[in-house]
Amino acid sequence: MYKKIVPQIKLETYEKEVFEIDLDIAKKFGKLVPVLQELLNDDKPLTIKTINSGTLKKIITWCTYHKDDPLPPEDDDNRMKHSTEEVSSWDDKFLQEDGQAALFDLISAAHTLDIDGLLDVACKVVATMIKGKAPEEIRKVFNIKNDFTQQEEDQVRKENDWCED
Amino acid sequence: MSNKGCIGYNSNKIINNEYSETPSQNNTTISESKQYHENLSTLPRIRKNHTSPGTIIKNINSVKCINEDEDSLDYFVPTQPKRRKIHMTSDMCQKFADSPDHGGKILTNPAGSQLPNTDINLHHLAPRYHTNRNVTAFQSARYASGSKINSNDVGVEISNNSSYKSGLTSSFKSGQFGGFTSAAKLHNESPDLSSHFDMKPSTSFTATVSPRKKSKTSVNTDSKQKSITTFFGASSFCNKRNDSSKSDKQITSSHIVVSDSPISTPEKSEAIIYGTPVKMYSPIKKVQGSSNIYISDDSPSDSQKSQTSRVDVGNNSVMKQLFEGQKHYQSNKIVQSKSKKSNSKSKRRNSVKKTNSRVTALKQSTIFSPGNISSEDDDILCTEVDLASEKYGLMGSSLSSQPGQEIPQIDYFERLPDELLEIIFAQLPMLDLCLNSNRVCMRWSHIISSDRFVPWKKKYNRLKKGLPGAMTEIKSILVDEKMNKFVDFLTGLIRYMKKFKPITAGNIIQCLEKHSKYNWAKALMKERLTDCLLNEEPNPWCCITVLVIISQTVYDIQEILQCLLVPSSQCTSIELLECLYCIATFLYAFKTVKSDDVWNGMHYRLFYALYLYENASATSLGDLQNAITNKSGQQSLIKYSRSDCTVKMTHEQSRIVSYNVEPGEVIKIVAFAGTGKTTTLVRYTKMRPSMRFLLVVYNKSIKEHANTQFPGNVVCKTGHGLAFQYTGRRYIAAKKLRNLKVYEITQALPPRKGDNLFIRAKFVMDTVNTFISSADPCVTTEHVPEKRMDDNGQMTYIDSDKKNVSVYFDF
Repeated sequence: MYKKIVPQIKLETYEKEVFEIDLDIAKKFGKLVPVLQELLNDDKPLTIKTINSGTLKKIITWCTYHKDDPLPPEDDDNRMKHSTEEVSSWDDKFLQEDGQAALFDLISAAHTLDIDGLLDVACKVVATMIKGKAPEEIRKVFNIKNDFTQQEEDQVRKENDWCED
Repeated sequence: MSNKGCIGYNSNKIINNEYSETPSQNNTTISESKQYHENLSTLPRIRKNHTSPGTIIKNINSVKCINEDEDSLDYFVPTQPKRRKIHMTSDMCQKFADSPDHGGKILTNPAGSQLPNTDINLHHLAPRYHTNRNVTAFQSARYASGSKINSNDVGVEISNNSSYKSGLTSSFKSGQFGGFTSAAKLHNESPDLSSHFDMKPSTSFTATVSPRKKSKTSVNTDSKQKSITTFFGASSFCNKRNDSSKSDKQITSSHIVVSDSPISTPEKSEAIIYGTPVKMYSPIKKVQGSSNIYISDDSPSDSQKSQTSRVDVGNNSVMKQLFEGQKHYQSNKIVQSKSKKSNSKSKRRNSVKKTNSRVTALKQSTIFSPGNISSEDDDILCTEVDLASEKYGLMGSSLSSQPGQEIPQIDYFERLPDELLEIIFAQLPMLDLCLNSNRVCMRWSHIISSDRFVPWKKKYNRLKKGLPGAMTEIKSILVDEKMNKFVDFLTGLIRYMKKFKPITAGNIIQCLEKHSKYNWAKALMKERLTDCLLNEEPNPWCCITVLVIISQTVYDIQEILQCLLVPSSQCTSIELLECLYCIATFLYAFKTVKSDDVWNGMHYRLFYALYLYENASATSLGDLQNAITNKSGQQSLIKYSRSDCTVKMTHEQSRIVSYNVEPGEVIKIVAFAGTGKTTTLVRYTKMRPSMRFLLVVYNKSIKEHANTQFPGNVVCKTGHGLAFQYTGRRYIAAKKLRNLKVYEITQALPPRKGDNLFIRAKFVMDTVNTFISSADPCVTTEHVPEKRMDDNGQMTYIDSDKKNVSVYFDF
């Protein structure tokens, strides 16, 4: 039986695990990966030490899920609902299920592989976590150390007074 | 040196409470006990809790009792004739403690000075169980690690004396909880504690708390609480019984004693527990292996019932995890063999193995040193105690288990380069950037204030806020780009956008092609702006500008965002947003330069689409809780409303809800009808149950509706209702004057010569009506009308002198 041979690129992660990714998917999402693969031009896997297997697995899952996203429907009424809500709710769940560490790993990995779509949604999730929170809350959520002196903080506040109503 | 002050729960705060609630106590007693507690408060076992009034003094008495018996102290002796000394007053206790013979110093932990902030770390208060039994005591012992300070731990017994009992009972009746249990003790083992102190916690502790059957009025949560306590207590108890035959002091060897030993299960034993036959205790849950958990029950017939109910409680997640935690302490073959099967939990297996090696050494009773118990176990237990304490809301929520504490405290932002932070920040609304995010840390502030970061977004917002310099900057661009004429506005803008940014994303045009108005835009560009086309393909930024200009609804602009931000798009959101903000800036500038509805509409659609994009996210309740949980001692209804809160709040709402209004401060929430202002207020008030709120609404029907919506700490009033309550009530009588009739006044007025009575009555009526309508306290000449009718029917002005006269005569 005929089986279509899909060109694949091989990526080796930090744990020395080799993943094979369909070139179609890779090309669609990552700007960088196909280029590098062509440069290598052989079967040797491309080693990316900054990405661990778990993260790469997630990236592949994400890319596969979004491989054939439906186009926005033509009719005006349903245009808003269909395209955004379903997809984004899946994305939100997917990105948040493994906690902060995985999310930030994913952001760096998406950045390394230049997968803009994933980078955007992941950054949006982080932004959502920041939104509407007071500085202390943000520090608490992300374990950020406050390195402002009181004067500096007041200065920053003063400089941005104009933003307040 | 012995360490006596094991009952270290009491803080000055509690004493004050006690004093305020029991005015019969005289001042000296209080101050003494206060001092006493100051000694105690340096101990590592301090619980800042809500111990019910009346019990503290009893506790002290109990302590003193032990002190006196120091020489012949038994660790756990159920009935002693000397128990009567519990009736010692606090004064006596104090004197006794101060006397050198018995060593007031003994009560003071020598390590006290090393423990300055103990109460900060000890937020967990275990529930107290009150007893009304005549039987002696229930021991829930938990032995802490080997101490550097004491070689000889001494248990403190709180005896079940009648006065003590009455104290407990009264506090129980009053619905107050608090105190000490073995569950609290377990928490003492928490790793964070030991990490805080150089010394290991050394105080051993024996609380004689016997579980008591709840009255019918007690709520379900109480029974849960009870189960937890009983669980630990019982396990300790079993052990206790095993060892009691040897020597009581053996137990005090600084170890955690956990129930074990299948040989001496209480079923087989004929021992009397709490003076009740063993069969009266029904196991609530049989943890795999040998240890049973026994719950004392008043009547054997009830045991079956209580068993089922408590098993239900066991199904509760808290209990489950609690038992799971306990499993680590179990040392028996079943657990071991089972744990061997579970390959994934190698850590746990190790801990169990260690446990078992100890079991063989010590035969029947398993003694763990805290070092052998993995921190994981302690974490579980601590968390459960936390959870339990949170469930019952007894001790505030100062440390109510926040998810952030379980994960390691890593600042993941540190690992990200600045450019990634920029991408994240670009998604935030300007308000967040300027007011919150830039005050988080220096790095964030630098990134946000950098000129490189979202310059157009900043320009747009400055322009809108009318900041000096913003408009001149834009105007100079308009002049430079020859956009200063009305007819050139749009074409100029589209041409300007060509230079906006080099095109990095390869497929941006492919994505734009999916826009329903793309062909229209392309045709327009082909016809009018051929210089914006490159190889028949429009420049993407120009194309976006055209799409914005020809958009008819907000949806059209949202569609642009959607098309370009699909996962396969290589266009980043930061550049797209910047492009849109750039367009918005110019549209706003056009609007200001030449006021016209055309610009208004274009700008508004774009602004609104951007606004929706940035503010679309909803926050979860968990986020909100973080805002409130740092209030120690204050409970929040939000915990209890978790189930019925299906509506997620936007981050704008959550900003309002998490903001604590200072006295004298006014916050104004401006929003459209139906956007959830009231919902926000409901949430705001629910999260602050300790505060009282007044809601003033327009009319009675809204008031009645609000009463059903808002929690009990909100008083709903209409404006009139509010005024009437304080002021209007005084003028109820004035209502009678509302419908004055001239005739009625004539009946009251004395006839005067040369004056028409009816004209005079009318004159009086006018004056009275003017007065009623005014806010003046009494009738003056001010209220007298300017004119009055004379006898001929002509209106004439009244002199001011005459006014006085008329007022004088007629009133």
